[in-house]
Amino acid sequence: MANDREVLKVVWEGKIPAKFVIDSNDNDEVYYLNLPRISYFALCTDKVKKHFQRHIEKEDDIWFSYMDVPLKFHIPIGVIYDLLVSDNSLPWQINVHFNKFPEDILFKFPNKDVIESHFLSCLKEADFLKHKGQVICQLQKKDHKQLFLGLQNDKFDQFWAVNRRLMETTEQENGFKNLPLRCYTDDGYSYLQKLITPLTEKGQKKTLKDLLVEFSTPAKKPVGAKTHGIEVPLETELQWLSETLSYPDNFLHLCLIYE
Amino acid sequence: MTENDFRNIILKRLTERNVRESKFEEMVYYTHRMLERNYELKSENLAITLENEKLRKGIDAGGGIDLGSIARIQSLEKKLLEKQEELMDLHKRKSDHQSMIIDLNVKVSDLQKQIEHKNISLNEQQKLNQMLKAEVNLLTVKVGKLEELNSTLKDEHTALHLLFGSLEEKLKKTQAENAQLLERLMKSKAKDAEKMNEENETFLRKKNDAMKRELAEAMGSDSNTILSPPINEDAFFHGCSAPNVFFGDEIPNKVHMKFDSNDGEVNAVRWSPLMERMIATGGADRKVKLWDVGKGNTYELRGNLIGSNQAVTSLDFDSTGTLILASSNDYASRVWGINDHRLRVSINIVILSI
Repeated sequence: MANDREVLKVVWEGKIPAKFVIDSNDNDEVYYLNLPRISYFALCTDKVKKHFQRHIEKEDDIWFSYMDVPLKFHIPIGVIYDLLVSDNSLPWQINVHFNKFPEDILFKFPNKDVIESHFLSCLKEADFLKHKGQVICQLQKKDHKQLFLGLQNDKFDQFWAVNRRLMETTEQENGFKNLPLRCYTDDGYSYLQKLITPLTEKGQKKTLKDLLVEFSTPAKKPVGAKTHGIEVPLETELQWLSETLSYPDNFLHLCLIYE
Repeated sequence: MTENDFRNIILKRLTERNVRESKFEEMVYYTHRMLERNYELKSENLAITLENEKLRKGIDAGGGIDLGSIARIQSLEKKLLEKQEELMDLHKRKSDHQSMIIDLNVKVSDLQKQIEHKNISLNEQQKLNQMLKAEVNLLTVKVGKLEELNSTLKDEHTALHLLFGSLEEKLKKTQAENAQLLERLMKSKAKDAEKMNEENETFLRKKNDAMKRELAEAMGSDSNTILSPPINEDAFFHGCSAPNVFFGDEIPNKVHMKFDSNDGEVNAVRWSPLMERMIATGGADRKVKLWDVGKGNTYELRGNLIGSNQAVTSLDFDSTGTLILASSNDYASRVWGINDHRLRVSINIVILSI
């Protein structure tokens, strides 16, 4: 896995420069920030809040949007960028709102405990798909805490010291039971989730090509997938992809590309 | 394609992505720097404005004096202010110290009082201690005495025990002796009775013989009708009138008078030899009573002679009729005067016998 560390490090370091703009005509104040792709909006917008403090009336009411689409707090930032920004324009211009919270679309994350519990529930779901939940059950409370703190404080080694155990497979198993992955269609935030095994029935390793076939419908056929801002080669093995390019919540977030 | 190929492609693309997206990193960094600097300058500006305001006020107060002197005055004023502040500070400290000294004095006096209290209580405790020690000594002496006493008592007890044992043995011996003596007594008594019987028999025989002889003589001398033997006794007695012949007593068959003389048993009665109708009775009530038995059925108590400790068994008058002797079950015989009812002599017979 020595080679993987290089890739993991590069994935971890992915940052998107963002330009925060207040969504009103009479104010041209801007704020620039580098957003880690793997993190959540709820974890890295403290500085934004602080900068715009004098405009804020109620702290809970702050929310963000891009091209009038509200940005979800509980989806990794990289996924949102890949989904919404089709022309890869940089910096990413984000509108900041202080009122009219769209409660029908967004969940409120009043503190970090809520995002932590969401993050841990994702981890549990993923591990249940991979190892039937055996590994996450063996972890202790402090290990869970270490995972979250590693993500929150951008500590690569701290995070992977624990996450390594979640990503391991034994020799007999030869891969995960199922792959935790979410395939986002081009329809807003909606995604597809299926039970995908890393091997074919004949025992060969599945590639991204096989995956796209499984997710294709008569009406729509995906021709490629994007994650972490890059297009993934069709020949990539799914097991490797899951081990290496998963987000910290252990899910593989793929944005399907249609014709 | 092998694993390395797609891996390398992905790595390359990711690296390219990072390069592309980190173009703005510097810009973001400098924006942040700028913003921070901006904040700093703003706060500095605010401070300067405040200072400026102050200075302006100072100029207004100072009036038309030239700038150099104003500055000097200002600096002097400033110094003065500082000194005043220092003075104030010192005053404050001084008062603080004074209050502290007062507090400490109060505390010291409190502590002294406490020490006095402690000393007094200590003295008391020492006195108490001495008293208790003396008491303890006294008690130990007492205990020693008591122990001594106890040991002497124990010795006495053992001595008495020994004495008791020996006495018991003696008692046993004497008891055995007593039993032997009793046996002998019984034997001698039996012998005595035998002898008495024999004597009686011989006496009766002699009497009968004598009577027979006399009868035969009488028959020989008298010419009266000869009664063929055996003779009817009753007829014989009635028929007999000769003075030298022996008389049969009359058997009393009628109670002349009756009275309760003593409580319980009456053991002894006796007529007075001189005084008419005077009798003495003695009984189980330990008294000798003197009675006047009148004519007719009257009786009168003349006196109680007391002094016996047990039942009176027997009594007798002396020949003059002025003294009375009574024996009692308490191994004693006593003599009373009849006229004054006084105890004259009390003799223990047991002593007499020895």
